[in-house]
Amino acid sequence: EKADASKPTNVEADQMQYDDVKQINTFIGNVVLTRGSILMKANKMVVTQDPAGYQFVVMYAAPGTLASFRQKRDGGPDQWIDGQAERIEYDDKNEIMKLFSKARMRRLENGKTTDEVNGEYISYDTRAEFFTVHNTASGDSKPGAGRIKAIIQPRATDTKKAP
Amino acid sequence: QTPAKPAKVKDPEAETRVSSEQMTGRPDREIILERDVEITRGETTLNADHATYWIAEDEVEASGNVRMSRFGDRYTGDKMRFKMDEGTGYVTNPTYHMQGNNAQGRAERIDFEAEDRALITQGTYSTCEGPDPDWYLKSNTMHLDTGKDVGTAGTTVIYFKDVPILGTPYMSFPLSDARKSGILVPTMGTTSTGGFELMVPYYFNIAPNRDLTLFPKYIARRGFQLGADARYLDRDYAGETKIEFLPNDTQTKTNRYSIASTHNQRLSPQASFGWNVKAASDDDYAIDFSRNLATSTERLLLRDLYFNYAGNFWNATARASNYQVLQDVLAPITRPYDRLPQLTLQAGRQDVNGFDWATTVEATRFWHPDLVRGERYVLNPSISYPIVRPSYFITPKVSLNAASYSVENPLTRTNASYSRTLPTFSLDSGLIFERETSIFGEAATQTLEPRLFYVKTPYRNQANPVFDSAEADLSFAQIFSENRFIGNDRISNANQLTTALVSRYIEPSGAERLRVALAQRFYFEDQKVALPGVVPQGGSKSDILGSGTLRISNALSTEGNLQYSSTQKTVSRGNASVSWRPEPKKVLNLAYRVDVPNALRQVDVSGQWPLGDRWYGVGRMNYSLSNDYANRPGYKQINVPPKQGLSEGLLGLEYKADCWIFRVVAQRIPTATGKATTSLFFQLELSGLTKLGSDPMEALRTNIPGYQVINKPSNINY
Amino acid sequence: CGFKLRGTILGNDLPFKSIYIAVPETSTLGSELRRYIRGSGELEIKQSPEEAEAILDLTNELREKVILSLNSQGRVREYVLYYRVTIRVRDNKNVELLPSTQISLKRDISYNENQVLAKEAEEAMLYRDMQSDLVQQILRRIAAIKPADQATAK
Repeated sequence: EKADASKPTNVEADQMQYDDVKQINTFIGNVVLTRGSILMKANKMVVTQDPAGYQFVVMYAAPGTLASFRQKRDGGPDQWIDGQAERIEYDDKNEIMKLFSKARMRRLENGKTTDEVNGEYISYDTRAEFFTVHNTASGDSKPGAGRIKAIIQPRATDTKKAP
Repeated sequence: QTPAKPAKVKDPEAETRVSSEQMTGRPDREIILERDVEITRGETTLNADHATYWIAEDEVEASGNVRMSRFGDRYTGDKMRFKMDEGTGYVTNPTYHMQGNNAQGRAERIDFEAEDRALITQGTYSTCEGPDPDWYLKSNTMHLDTGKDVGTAGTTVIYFKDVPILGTPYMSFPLSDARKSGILVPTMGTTSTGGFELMVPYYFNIAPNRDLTLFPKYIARRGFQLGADARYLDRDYAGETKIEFLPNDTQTKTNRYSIASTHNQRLSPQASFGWNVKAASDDDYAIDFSRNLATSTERLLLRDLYFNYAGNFWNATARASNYQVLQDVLAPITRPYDRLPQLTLQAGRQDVNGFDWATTVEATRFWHPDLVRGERYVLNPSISYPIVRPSYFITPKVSLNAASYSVENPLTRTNASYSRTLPTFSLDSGLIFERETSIFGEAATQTLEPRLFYVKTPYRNQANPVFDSAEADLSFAQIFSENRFIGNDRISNANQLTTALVSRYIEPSGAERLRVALAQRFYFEDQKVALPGVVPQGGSKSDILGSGTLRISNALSTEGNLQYSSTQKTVSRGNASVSWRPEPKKVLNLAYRVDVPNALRQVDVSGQWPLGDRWYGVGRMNYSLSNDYANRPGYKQINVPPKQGLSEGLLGLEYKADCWIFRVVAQRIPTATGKATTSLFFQLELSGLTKLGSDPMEALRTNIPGYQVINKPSNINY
Repeated sequence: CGFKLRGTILGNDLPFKSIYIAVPETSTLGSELRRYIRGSGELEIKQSPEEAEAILDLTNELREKVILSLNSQGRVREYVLYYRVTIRVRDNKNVELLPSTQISLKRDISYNENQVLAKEAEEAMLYRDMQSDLVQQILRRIAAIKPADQATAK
């Protein structure tokens, strides 16, 4: 949601290391980041801040688990978006979220999944709500490297139009 | 039965599943998919190299070897735009395959106008499998409406093995077997009398229960003929009228027409009326224009108009009817009497404390241009007391036949009147014995049914003219009727006893496995009543009648009938036949027939048999054997006896490819001139589309009992 | 030789006591069938399907005249008259007691164009004769209906 940008970020974790010189914060163990409607969970999270104050977050999942994030959308009263992957990078400056390997992104409306996308790499521009999905964890698209699957529920307009 | 078509139920709630190797886009607006794209929604699956999916409009644009399957129909193309739920859109450079009747083809473009309607531009249509079909039709615009199961095409050319064999400005054809009526496709053929002929039908579906079909037909040696067939069906009335009109036949320089109209209508729960009228412009119409044996041999065209009123136990009918005679100079037919009008009242009650009574009152004015004509009034009351029990039945019956005539002879201008009153007493009785036994090793109930039928009718001299009476063939039905003659103009005197014995073997299911019957009538007084110019037969005993039917197995059944003349100690009429149907589309019939009065001894062999994997042979041979019946004492000639040798024959071959059938059938039938003509039927049936050429099906069905159409499932026999 | 007088027309172990003949009033076959069943006294005829324990459907009644042979002048010498009916018996819960069964009879009739009025009447006589034969055969089929358990046990 647009309002999140102005909200404070707070993070809980088992341990926190702070490298003042490189301005890098590393949280390890059950890391939970909240900022307005944004909620991020991971096993390890590295947050770096650039001189202009924009944060750059990298979340790592513990082996066998997945890091996840959730954010409310402007589109309607109870519309959310969530995602999970083995590694998630969030660039606060250009507001782009990248999910790497076993990536899944869903949009929910009052608790029901309206769309869902699965692939090896998903990049999602939260401001323009534009996403790209590739079939390799490295982020480029190689023919034959694997399938991307998505499920889209019919829009409300569809149901009205139905005979 | 065609498999039930999957109902095209669309589930608006169905989700859309999308997969590809690369995907970008905005979730609410559109997503772009790259490489090996598949979009599935409910019954529709679409594959392509590249696709864009507009979610809100639920519309897909796909390109690069596009493939789509929807409700069983399959399409390919290079570019497609399609609304998944609505089912509309288009595809360019497509091929299509439809599940309905396995039809397929290619085109420049297909526009899906609605869920069930597609417009095919510059396309082909065929029901053959495979990329290069044996036959196909090519048309610039074709509409396929799978809802109504109708395909219509503008200017169309039909190709067979890439050779154009028929062109037509317009054409409609069925899209599945389910719907037969109303779909008419051009047919083409040749007849020996008219030469080449092409017919392009137009079908007008005026209303769900009314339709009109026009049959414009070009006949090479005659000219243009217009046929029309109007049909209507309503709650209270229904009918059909067929008219054929050929102005200025080039061969006869006259107008040729024929009408065949039937109509019946219920005016109220009791009253109804109707007509059955046939007429033709001239005597040779049947031979010149008929398409099958049944119509070409029909020389008496009935014209009948009736009005009927039914009470709860009586029924009154007023009727006017006569026949148009298509005269044949070589074998002239005497013109039947007109019945203008015939009023009949029938009444009767059953079980009025044990009695059944019935009465018929009939008043008829028989008219004829040159024979004796006039009015006849008949009163025929009867009363009987039927006692029917499981083990026996006794039915005494008394009836009276009173008739009076007032007639005039048109040639001599003389009038005359006659009347007669004849009582008849009859007593019918029989016993029914049963025992449990077996036949061919299977349990069966055998019955033994002796029956005695005594009739006493005094002799009255009957010199009145004969309007509708004749001597009936001796049959089991006739031997148990009171009057030896049919009709009301001759009542045979009788003091006779008919004895009969019937035995049946009845299977546990109730079906008759074997039935044997014998009957003979004993005359205690000579028969004195006869038709004009016929000497009544003497003799105290009638011929013995025997008949037997036996189903040996599901495939093999036999039947025999016999009429043995006790006076001449020989068979006067008899036939025996065997029919073997081991499997569908395999049948062999063998029949031997003797008819002394007609000096006829014939063997009849007919059959249908597969000759190879796709070839089927059909044949019939009716061979007249030499006989000496004509020079037997007491022989009276009824018909011209057939010469020895083949009198009727049919030989045919059918080749069944997977989507077409070729039939060639030669049929030899005797003609009025005593010689025989052979007519040749060539027919190419494009399965599910049209039959080109002259249709031999009716000849096959009547000449070969048990014939089965080779491209229909085996249980439908025509 | 084991023969004894027939005891019943319809047998006494029919799994139903009443029947509705679903045949239109105009069909003479229907009225003759009703008359024989009523005469047998072993089965009651009901006026409506709801009251009856069993319903006999006459799903098809077809009369057809086909050319049997031609004389030497190519004119019809004999016709065959076919009379085919298809019957089915079901109980009032629509359970099939007698599956759809076709009974087909035929009679030959000689033809002579000079006696066409008489031949019309003879044709009617032969159809009446076949109709009575069909009624007897239908009665035999009804009599053969076994109670459900016995039928399946066999």
